[in-house]
Amino acid sequence: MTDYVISAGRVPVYPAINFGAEFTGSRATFCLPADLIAGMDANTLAIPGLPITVLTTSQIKMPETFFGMSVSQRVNDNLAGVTAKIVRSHDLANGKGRWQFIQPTASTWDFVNLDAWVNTHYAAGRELIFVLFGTPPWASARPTEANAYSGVVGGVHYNEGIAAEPSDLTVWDTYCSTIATRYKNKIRYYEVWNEVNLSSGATAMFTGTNAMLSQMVRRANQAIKAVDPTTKIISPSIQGWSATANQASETFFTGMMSASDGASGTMAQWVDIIGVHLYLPSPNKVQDLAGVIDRVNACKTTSGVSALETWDTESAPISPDISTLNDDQAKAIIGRSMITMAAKGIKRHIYYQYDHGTMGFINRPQIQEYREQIATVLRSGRILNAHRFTDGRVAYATESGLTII
Amino acid sequence: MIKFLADTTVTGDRFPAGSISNFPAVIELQLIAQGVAILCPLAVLIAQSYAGWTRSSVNAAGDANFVTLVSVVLPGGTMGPNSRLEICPDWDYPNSASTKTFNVNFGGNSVGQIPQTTGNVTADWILQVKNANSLSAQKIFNSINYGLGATNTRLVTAVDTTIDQNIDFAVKWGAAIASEAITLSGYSIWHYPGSGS
Repeated sequence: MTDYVISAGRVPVYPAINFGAEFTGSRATFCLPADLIAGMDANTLAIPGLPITVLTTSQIKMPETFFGMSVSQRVNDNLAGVTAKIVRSHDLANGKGRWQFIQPTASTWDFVNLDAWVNTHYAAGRELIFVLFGTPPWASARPTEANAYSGVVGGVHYNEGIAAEPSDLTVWDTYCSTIATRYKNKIRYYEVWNEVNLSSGATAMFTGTNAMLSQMVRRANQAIKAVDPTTKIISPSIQGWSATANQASETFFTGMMSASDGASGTMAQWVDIIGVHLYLPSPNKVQDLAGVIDRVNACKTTSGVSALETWDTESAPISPDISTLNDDQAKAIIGRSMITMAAKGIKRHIYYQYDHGTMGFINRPQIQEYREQIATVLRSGRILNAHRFTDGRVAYATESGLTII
Repeated sequence: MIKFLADTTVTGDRFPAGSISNFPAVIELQLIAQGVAILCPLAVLIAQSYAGWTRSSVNAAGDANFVTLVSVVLPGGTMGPNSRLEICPDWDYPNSASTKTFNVNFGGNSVGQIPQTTGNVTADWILQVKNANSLSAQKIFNSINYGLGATNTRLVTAVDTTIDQNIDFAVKWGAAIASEAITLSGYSIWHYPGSGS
């Protein structure tokens, strides 16, 4: 329907708005806005250098649980102004969601802050993801080791050793079991560790081996499901994904998934959900997000876990953070990212973090309102297809026409 | 379009010195006559797109005929008696032995036509079409050597700019050729008002 016949070197009409064209023989094919509504045919898709690719040709209708938000301060747990049906415990204020503070010694436990987080969000009807992370120094295999959270102030060392695995995995079993028991029927999802491919120096999140990590996943699965077999285990999250194949994040993911679990299997058989952090390649190249998700899917296939859902348990505009973006810039990145993830099959998207100093938008009402608009259209089922422009813009069609953001 | 030389109130609105505004011609002429403003013509974008239009050869005789990839309408009355159009197409093409010819037509007259064979893969053009003390007579520098001089005499056209005119971007090969592509990656057309505009 976008093909024209070339006669005497011209076509009968030159569309005022088009996204590219090919002239070959006596046929001219234009890519028109109407094609993005009805769907591009083979000739349109074959236009050389076409700056548009298909995200999905299917209707998008996301459940409310797609929309997640992590929050640091308990005073902000009401998550005013945003749709958030799922929350995640990583980076609660003052590290209160970390193992090191929940079990500060082998015989003492502190659930005060975590109880407040769990009970508030559970009462609000939200799903909860608890991140099992942060070995207490007393249990750490390398208690003086530096990591992303460690430092020295006035000669006092703090948070050292928390990125290492426990020296005795039975204490890990106890920790997992204790959390699962205390929050049975409230916390349904457990994510083992955080950003495990940050593995050395001042950014380290996990410094153990893949085999150790695999064993920890198996033991967490066994300990938690012994308490409640309906819970789900989310794989250790990987950050730093790229739209280019064979980057370090992929190698880490496939290596981790195939690592021995210390028994007779591999990590792949002990996870129910694949956890990824879909931070955009710098500088917030939202046009790469579809390719990033394609690479995640390729790695899932390689690891034999393609049937599992993929959850974006953490992402946000980063480098530059939202604090250095104006409202329009931030809205574009957030809106395009949400639609791209939904179109490409991501099942949960948890923004990091509602009240973060540089990444949060608790005090940015225009961004909150825009995110709600996108959430509304994603939940409505009105999006009939979606396309991506190479400059980052996203187009979606509804019965009302074409919208490009 | 005028630029204010002093703080001035016009129809109840205050315009500071240095500001640039557009008023009906009669008001602009009054302000200029009063010495509080000077004529300040600014370029106006007539049309621009970087969608990308590709012609793919099919190894048939028709490859040697021009095909128009983009046709833009210059609205009648846009140009004044001494104003100038700046037409800027960006071409992408293969470094190959075939002869690839790009052409820009203004009101049916070719005002820029350059063949390429081997050596280059891109060309960004600047073509200037100037009304010469007339609304229907143009003088065009018939060379790519702006600022350097040319042996060619000026190209002269007689296009009536008081009515709509097409600006066409067309390409062809010298002969049938297999599996080549020429792309107009984008274009911009600007209008610069002149004296008497």
